[in-house]
Amino acid sequence: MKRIIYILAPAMLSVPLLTGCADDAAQNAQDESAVTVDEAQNAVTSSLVKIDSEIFSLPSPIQTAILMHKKEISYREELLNPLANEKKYINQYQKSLNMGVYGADLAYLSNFNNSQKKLDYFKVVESLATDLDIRNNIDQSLIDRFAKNIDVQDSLYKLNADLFKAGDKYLKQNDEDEVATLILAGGWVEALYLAIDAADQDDSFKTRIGEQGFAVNSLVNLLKKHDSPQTIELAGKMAELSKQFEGLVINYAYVKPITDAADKVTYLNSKSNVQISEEQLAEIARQVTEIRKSITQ
Amino acid sequence: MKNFLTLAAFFAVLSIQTATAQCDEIADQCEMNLAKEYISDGQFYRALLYNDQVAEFELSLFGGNTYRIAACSGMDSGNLVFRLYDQEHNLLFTSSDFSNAPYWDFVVENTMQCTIEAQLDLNKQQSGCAVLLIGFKK
Repeated sequence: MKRIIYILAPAMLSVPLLTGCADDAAQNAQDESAVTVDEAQNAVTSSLVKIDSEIFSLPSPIQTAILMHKKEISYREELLNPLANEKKYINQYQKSLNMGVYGADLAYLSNFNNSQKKLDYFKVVESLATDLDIRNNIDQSLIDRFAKNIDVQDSLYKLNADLFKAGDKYLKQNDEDEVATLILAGGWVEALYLAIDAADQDDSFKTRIGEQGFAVNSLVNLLKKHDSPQTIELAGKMAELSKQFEGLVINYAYVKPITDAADKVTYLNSKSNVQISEEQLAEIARQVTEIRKSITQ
Repeated sequence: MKNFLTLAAFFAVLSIQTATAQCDEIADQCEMNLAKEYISDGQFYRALLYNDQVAEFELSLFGGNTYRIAACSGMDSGNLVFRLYDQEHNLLFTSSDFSNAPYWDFVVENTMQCTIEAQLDLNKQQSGCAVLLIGFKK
């Protein structure tokens, strides 16, 4: 029977696990189940086994765009990645990163009145999504709503987020995690690039930039999961950038949260602040600009 | 005893396989917990859990924002327990105190680096795909 398990388990698992929710955890489960019965028993009896401790969330570029809107940051077209650059992106690596970049630019554009520009940037995102085989797997009604809501700011934020979430979901379901990570990376770099420029207009962006240290570490960890040469190179640049954030002083003081069960809400009242000098900001800006240049040009 | 263990392993494999197939359905169902006023962070988090395994998710919650975290496993709500910790591992919230609520809102005063731990409620489910979604209010 033990032998049957050796033969059956991989065969049973190979198709559904590869086509379904085949993440690292599933792979671990597959490996473990096919090894020995004793190990399977250990898995059953173990306590609080932490699986894949490298699931990281990156801040959405739309959050940066919303902060810009609140702070009334003025429009600067020269910050955007020009539409004409799209034709330079010929491989999956470039297309993935720049789909994220253009998505962040579209979030930025959502704050301003320029319907044609917004449509043009949406079309570029859609074009790259088509090239990456994402577009055909996204609900058409979501795409249709973009044109109808191009001038409705709140709707545009939400549609942009839903488009990228649908893409992320499709890619992860189909073991295209590297593409998903590169799209996130491109969006995060572009949003940080825009925030650095906004820091000249409003000091609150300096704090927001300083708070990205955790995100850049997450990004390094996400990129390091993949082994294509270009992604490894990008992970190296991000790791260099993360060193700049290590020098920032971050103070944190825990305060007991307050929960309102009736409204299903918890108020997180802990205090924190980040101290970032002009020199540190300038060095972060320099490195981000370099990384962004390597992505977009 | 050996036969029993072999059978246990066999059924463990089978249940993981079933859970995997349900992943997409769970994701669709879980999305309904992100109400219209919440904007998705654009990411889709999932982990396949078996027995008492714990999935760990790292995230930054930015000050001045209200977030909704939706956590699902299985087609019924309340199969997944999720706990939120701060960077010093102080427990901020656990859904087990609220009947494994499938979503909860968090009003964040200052930016925090947090960890979410997600674990199946073994009274309801032995294996399954855990899906987490994060949204924020404009």
